[in-house]
Amino acid sequence: MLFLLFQLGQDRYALEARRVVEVLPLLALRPLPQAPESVAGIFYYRGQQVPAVDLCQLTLGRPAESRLSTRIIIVNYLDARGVGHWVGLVAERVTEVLRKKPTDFVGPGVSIKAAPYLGPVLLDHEGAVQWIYEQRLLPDPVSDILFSQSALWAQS
Amino acid sequence: MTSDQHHIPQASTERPRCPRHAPTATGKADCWNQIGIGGDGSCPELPKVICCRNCPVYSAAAVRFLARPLPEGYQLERTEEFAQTSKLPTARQISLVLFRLQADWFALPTWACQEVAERRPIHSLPHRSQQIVLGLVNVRGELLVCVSLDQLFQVGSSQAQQAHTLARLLVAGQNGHRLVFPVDEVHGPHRFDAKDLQSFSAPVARAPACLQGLLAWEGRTVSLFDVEQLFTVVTRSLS
Amino acid sequence: MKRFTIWQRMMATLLLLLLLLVGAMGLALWVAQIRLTAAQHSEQLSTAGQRIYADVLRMNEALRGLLLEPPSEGAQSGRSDAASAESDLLANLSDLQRGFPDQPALTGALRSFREFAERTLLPFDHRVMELAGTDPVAARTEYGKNRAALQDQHEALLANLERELDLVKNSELSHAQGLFAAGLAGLLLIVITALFLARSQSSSWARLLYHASARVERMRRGDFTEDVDSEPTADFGALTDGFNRLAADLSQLVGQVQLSVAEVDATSHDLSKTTDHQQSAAQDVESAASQAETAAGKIAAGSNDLIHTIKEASRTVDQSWQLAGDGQAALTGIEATMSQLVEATGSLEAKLGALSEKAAHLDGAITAIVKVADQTNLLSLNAAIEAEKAGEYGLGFAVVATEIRRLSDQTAVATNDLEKMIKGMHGLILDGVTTIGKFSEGTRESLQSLSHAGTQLAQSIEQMRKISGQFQSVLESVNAQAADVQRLNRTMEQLNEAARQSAETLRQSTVGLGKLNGAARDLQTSVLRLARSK
Repeated sequence: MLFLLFQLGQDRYALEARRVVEVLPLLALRPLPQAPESVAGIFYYRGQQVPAVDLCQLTLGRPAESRLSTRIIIVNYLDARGVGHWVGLVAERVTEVLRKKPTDFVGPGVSIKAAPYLGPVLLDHEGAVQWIYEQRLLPDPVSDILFSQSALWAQS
Repeated sequence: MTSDQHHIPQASTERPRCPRHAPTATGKADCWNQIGIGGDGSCPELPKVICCRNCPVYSAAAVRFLARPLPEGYQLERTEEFAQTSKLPTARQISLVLFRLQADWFALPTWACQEVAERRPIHSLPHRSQQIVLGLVNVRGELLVCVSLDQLFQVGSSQAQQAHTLARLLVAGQNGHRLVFPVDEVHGPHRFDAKDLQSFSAPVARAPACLQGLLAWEGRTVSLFDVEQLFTVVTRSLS
Repeated sequence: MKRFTIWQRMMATLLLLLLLLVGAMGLALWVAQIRLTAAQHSEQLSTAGQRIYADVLRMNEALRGLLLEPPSEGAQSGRSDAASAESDLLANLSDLQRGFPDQPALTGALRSFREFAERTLLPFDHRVMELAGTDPVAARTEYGKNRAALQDQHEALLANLERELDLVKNSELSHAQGLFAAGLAGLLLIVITALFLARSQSSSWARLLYHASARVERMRRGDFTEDVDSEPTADFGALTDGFNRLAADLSQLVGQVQLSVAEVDATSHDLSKTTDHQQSAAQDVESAASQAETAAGKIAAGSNDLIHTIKEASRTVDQSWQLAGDGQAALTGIEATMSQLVEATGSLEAKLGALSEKAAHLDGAITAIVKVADQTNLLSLNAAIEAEKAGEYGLGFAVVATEIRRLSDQTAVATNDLEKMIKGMHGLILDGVTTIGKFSEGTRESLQSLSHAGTQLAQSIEQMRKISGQFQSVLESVNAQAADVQRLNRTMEQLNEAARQSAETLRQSTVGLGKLNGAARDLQTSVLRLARSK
C-alpha cells in the first residue's frame, strides 16, 4: 500500500495514503487564542474552516519550520460519535510517498502509553520509519476542543 | 508502475545515500551536471537508472531544494488560492481538454483524453503516403497511429506553423481504441458548465460532422468534438 | 799706598810677595843646606869615629894577621891592608881636622890622636910588621908587650875622640837645629808677612770688589743710584765713576728698552694680527684661487661638454622634430580610435546596464519557477494519493503521478542550477559593469589626455623649430666662452701661484714674528724686574 512520508524533526513517519484527504502547502493560519499550543490555527479549504494541529509542537514541543517542504496533511478525523472532521496536520518534509507492504513494518514490541499513535517500524537504508495512527494522534483535550468547536466553525 | 524507488531524504543539509550503493556513489554536489546525463556520462549509476531523473540522488536533491523557506507573499497567495477552491465538482460541469489546430481551437472531453505527450518522431508508414495518416508514434512503448486532424478536417491556415514548443501529441482513447494526433497547443482540462455548451441546433455551414458543440473560452470559440464520431471518421479514413 | 793705582798696588804686592817667596825659598834652601851640612857633618863625624876605629882595628887585624900567618902568604896583603888602613886612618884624621877647623876640642883630640897614631901606633905597627917579616916571634912578642898599652891608649884616645866627636856632632846638630828653627821661624815670618800683605791687599781689593759687586747687585736689582765713593782712589774712583755711568746708562737703557719693548710688543701684536689676517686672507685667496682654478677647469671642461652636447642636442632636436611630426599624425589616428573606443564603451555600458536590469528580472522569474517546482511536487503527492484512493481505476493516474513527480524533481534541480548560474551571472554582470565603467572612465580620460598631448605636441614641434635655430647661436657663443675660459684658467693658475707664494711668505713672517714676540717677552720679563724699583 501507499504511504505518505513526513518528518517531525529527525523522526520519520509514514501515514496510509488512503487516509489522506489532500496535502496542502503551509497556508497562513489564523490563530485560535484559547486553543492549546499544538493547535496552530485554522485555514480555509474547499469553503470550510479546518483546524491545523502542529505535529512538531505536539511531539517535539517546538513549531514546525517554515519551509516549502512543510505542508498540511488533511486527514478525516472521526470523533467519538463517528462523525468525520477534517483536521490539517502540519508536518515537516512532506515530499515523498512510499509503496510498501504492511508486513514490511515490524512492531516495536513496546507500546508507549503516552504515544498510542506510534505503530510498527520500517527500517530502510535511511533509518527507521514509524507507522503513525493518525486517529490516535490527538490527545483528548485537543480533540475535545477541536471537535466541540468545529461545528461552530463550520457554521461561521 | 509501482515505484519502490521513492526514498526518504535525511535532513536537508546532508547528501542522500543511494540505497544500494556506497555513500560516495556519486559524491558530487551536482552530479547530474558533472558526471550524469548533463555532464560527461561517467556516473556509475547511469547504466542502472538510464537517466539522472530516475536516480534517487537526483530526487533527493530535488527534495533538498524544497527545504528552502517560502518566497515572499507565496503563503498568502496559496492561502487565497485554497480559500477560493471551489467545492468538489458537481456533475453539472463538464471537463474538457482544449487544443489548438493551426488557428482554431477544439476540445475533447477529458475522459477521452488519455495523455498529452511531447512531440516525438512520427515513423511514417511506407505504403501510406496519405496526408491524413502521419504514421506511427511511440507512446509509452506502444506504437500508435498518428493522424493529422488538420488534414482530416482541412483546418487550413495561411500562417506558417507557430509555437513549436507548445506542440503536443494528444492521445485520445475510446472503447479501447486509441489515436494520437499532433496539436499545436493544449489547455486544460478545464471545467465548463454544461449550459455554456452551444449545441448545434441549427446547422452550421462549416460545421464538420464530428463536432458536438461550441464553447466560449477566454474570448475564443472552441469546437467540441464528439468523441464517438471522431473515432468513426478517423477509423474510416484509416482503412 | 792708597794713592797708588790698583795696578801699581797689585804689582807691588806681587813683587813683594815674590820677594818674600824668594826669600822664603832662600831661607828654606839655607835651612836645608844647614841641615844637610849638619847631617853631613854628623854623618861624617859619626862615621869618622867609626872609620878611625875601624882603621885602627884593621891595622890591628892586619898586624895580627901578619903575626899569625906565615909571612910568605898573605903577608903582602896584610901589609897592604895595614898600609891602607893606616893611610885611611890618617886621611880620615886629616879630613876631620880639616873639616872642623873651628872645633878646638875636636881638633885637639884629633891632634892628640893623630900624634898618638903617628908617633906611637904607627911606628909600633911598623916595627911589628918589620919584625913580623923577619921575626915573627919577636913581632909577636913585641906586639904582645906593647899592644895592651897601646890598646888602652888608643882606646882612650879614641874614646876621647869619640867624645869630642859626639860633642861636636851634638853641637853641630844643635846648631843646625837652631838654625833650622831660626830658618823655620823666618820662613814662618815670611809666610805671615806674605799672608798679611796679601790679606791686606786682598781685603782692600775685596772691599773694592764688594763695593763693586754690591753696586752691580743694586744695579741688577734696579738701583742705579750713584755711589759716593768713600774711598776715593784713582782706580776705585774710576771704577765707581764707571759704575755710576753704567748705572746711568743702564737706567736710561732700561727706560728706553721698556718703551721699546712696549712698542715692540704692541707692534708685534699688531703685526701678528695683521699677519694672521693676511695669512687667513692669503689662505682664503689660496683656497678661492684653487677653487676658481678648479671651477675654471670645470667650466672649460663643461663648455667643451656643452659644445658637444649642444651639437648632439641639435641633432636630436632635428630627429625629434621629425619624430614629433610622425607622432602627431599617429596621435591624430589614436585620437580617432579612442573616440570610437569611447563610443563603443558607452554603448557597451548601456548594454550591460540593460543586461543588469534584465538579470534583476530573472530573480522574479526564478521565484516563479520555484513556486512551480513546489506546486508540482505537491501535485505529484496528491496525484499519487488520489490514484491510490481510486484503487484499480487509479492505476493510470498513478503513472501520471510518477511522471509529475519526475517533472517536479527536474524543475527543482534545474531551478537550483539556474539559481546558481543567475547568482554567478549577477556577479559577473556587476563586475562587468564596474570594469566597463572604469574602462569607460579611463578611456574618456585618455582621450582628454591625448587631445591635450596633441596640442602640446604641436607646441613642442614649434618650440623645437625655434630651438634648432637657437642652437647655432648658442654654439657660437659657447665657443667664444670656451676661449675666455681658457684664458681665465691661465689667469687662475697665476693667481693661485701668487697666492701660494704670498701665503708662504706670510707663514715665514709669522714664524719670525713669533720669535720676535718671544724675544720681546723675554726682554720684557727681565726688564720688568729691573724696572720694579723705578
